[in-house]
Amino acid sequence: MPSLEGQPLLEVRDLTVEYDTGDRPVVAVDHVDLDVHAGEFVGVVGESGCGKSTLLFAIAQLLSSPAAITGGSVTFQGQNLVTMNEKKLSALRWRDFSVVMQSAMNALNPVKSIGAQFRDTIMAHDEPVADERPAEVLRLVGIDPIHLRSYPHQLSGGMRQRAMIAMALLFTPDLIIMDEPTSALDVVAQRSLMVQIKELQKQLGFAVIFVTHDMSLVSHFSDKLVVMYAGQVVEFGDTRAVFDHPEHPYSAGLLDAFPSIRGPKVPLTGIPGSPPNLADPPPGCRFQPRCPKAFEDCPKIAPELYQVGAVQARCLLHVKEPVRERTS
Amino acid sequence: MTSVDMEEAGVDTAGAPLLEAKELTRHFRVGRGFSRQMLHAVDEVNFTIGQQEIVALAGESGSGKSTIARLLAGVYKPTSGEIFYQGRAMSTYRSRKDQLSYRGDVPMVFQDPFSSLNPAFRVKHGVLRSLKLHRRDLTTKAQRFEEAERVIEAVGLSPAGDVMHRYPYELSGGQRQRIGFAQALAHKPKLILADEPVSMLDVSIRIGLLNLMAELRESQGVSFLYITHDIASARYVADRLMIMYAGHVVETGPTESVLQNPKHPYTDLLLGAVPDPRAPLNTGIEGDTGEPPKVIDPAPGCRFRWRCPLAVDRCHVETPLLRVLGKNHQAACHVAEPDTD
Repeated sequence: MPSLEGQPLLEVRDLTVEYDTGDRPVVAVDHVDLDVHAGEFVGVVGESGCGKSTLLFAIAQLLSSPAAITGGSVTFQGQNLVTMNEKKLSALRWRDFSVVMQSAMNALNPVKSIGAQFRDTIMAHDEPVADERPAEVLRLVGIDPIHLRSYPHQLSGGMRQRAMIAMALLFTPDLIIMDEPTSALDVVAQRSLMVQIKELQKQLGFAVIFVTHDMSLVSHFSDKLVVMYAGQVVEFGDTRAVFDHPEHPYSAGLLDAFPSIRGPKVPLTGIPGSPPNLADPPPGCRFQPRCPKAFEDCPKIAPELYQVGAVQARCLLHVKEPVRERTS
Repeated sequence: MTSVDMEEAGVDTAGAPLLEAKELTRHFRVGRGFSRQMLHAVDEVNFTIGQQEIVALAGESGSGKSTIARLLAGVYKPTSGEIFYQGRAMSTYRSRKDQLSYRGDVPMVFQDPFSSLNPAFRVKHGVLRSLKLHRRDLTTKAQRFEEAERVIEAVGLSPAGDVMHRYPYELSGGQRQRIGFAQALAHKPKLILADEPVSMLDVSIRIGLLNLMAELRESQGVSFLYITHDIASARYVADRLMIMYAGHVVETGPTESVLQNPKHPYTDLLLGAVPDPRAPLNTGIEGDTGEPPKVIDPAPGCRFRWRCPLAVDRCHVETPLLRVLGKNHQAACHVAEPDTD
């Protein structure tokens, strides 16, 4: 279905995901809003345990118990995925949006050749696909089609990850969701994969949601950047704007947490402490116990997302007008 | 000599090296019978580590960096070549007492803090065991407890008395890795082999551990071999940088000198691949597929020649050796030019 004129391709509203742990539910994704327009590259960054992977799984409707969506909507091409039944979902999956998982070693079936896995994917859909399509997508990601007969263990880590991306491209979807696809790779392989994803995106025009814990990785590739902390979006805006003027102390801390290979050598501090336990989040602002700029209001008032110049930040330093009234 | 020169010449002023590797080589057999081949993991590598020095060893996975750490830790025996520790050849450390003292002096910190601590024991278990095994000067339990508290405080975990009684699952990744360092410190080490100690940790936690390494160097007087594939972090802590490619050290020198003035084309490639939001996008390496070779029964010639933009005929027939190309700065490349001044 073509995307509605002017509407975002993907509209996430107030999405909340809880893990049922018995005594007290853990809110892993807390009222998250996110818009992805056609052809856009959105980076989602945050520490482990901040809910970024859970958010992806919730968008793709891949959550399994004990995690469940307890509120909000995911509207993709005008249809709400949250309330959609499994049959309609599976028709949509891979044809209109696909997912590239973190570790290609576990995501590919070790006892089936790459070509057989591609055929499986094609056969799961009624969509007619040309016979040469598997070879074509492999060529797109820079792998010789001879490897359709190869098994995953015969490919290197970088090639496996490329094969996963090729598989995601089989039906030329409008949206590809990527969960740290480069985290198992070396810097050189990582860079060449990122450049390739960007090239393909320019060529084929799909939108990308790219999750990573390494903020520097997406700095040159994403159009929009979402910074997550303890299940909430703490900063959102154009990537360049966030990098040039991080408005939330957490994004600023993340930016200062990795050393540079150029320029003067400066002592860095990182962010002291560790992320909060989501079963028992700190009162007020969740970042307040680790925040260098915290003041007396921070433990008392839970901040909303506020518009600060070109970006949105969830920080009481920027209290003006909340971006949006909470609907609940 | 200016202060900068003094700093760059640090290797020379530090006196005799703490540890020296000479022509260190380790091969592994792959396959058997007629298909038996030799994988050259580390080939004729020479380097020294000085007193209170942090040396970074950087390279892609499969370049042989972890093999070097295991050779130094005595997990593997070298195929040929020798390691000298405080002037004494490691092959002469035969008795259990000698080996114990060497292992106490040169402990290892592992990559994955989630699997390197025994989940069934409290934190104090590992630290106290190290103390009991390696610290004969501490005769009573009370002394060992006191020392355990001291090393746990030294790695920035407090209150130590409380942390000691916790189980690993109660600690975050960064705290666990600090315990890894505390266990190493309990030996009163001279050199800590840190094999990618921060690569499994979150970006915001990493810098704290890098700072810890620099701190321990000052307060405890230990040297570090810091193995990493993250050159930016190597720049942050290390005095000297060694770049490995396919079992060879291809470039070595003072960190700043190597990074600001790289001689070997592989170092260039690595530097170009580091994501840096503060710098404009470097797209010069798009053609590179980023696959390091497996070095099985290699013929002579530079091992980087297939990926090298500068390769000449000579690179295919003659293996380049490390040449001095600048102050304390060496590279193994036929094409690289020495500093002109």
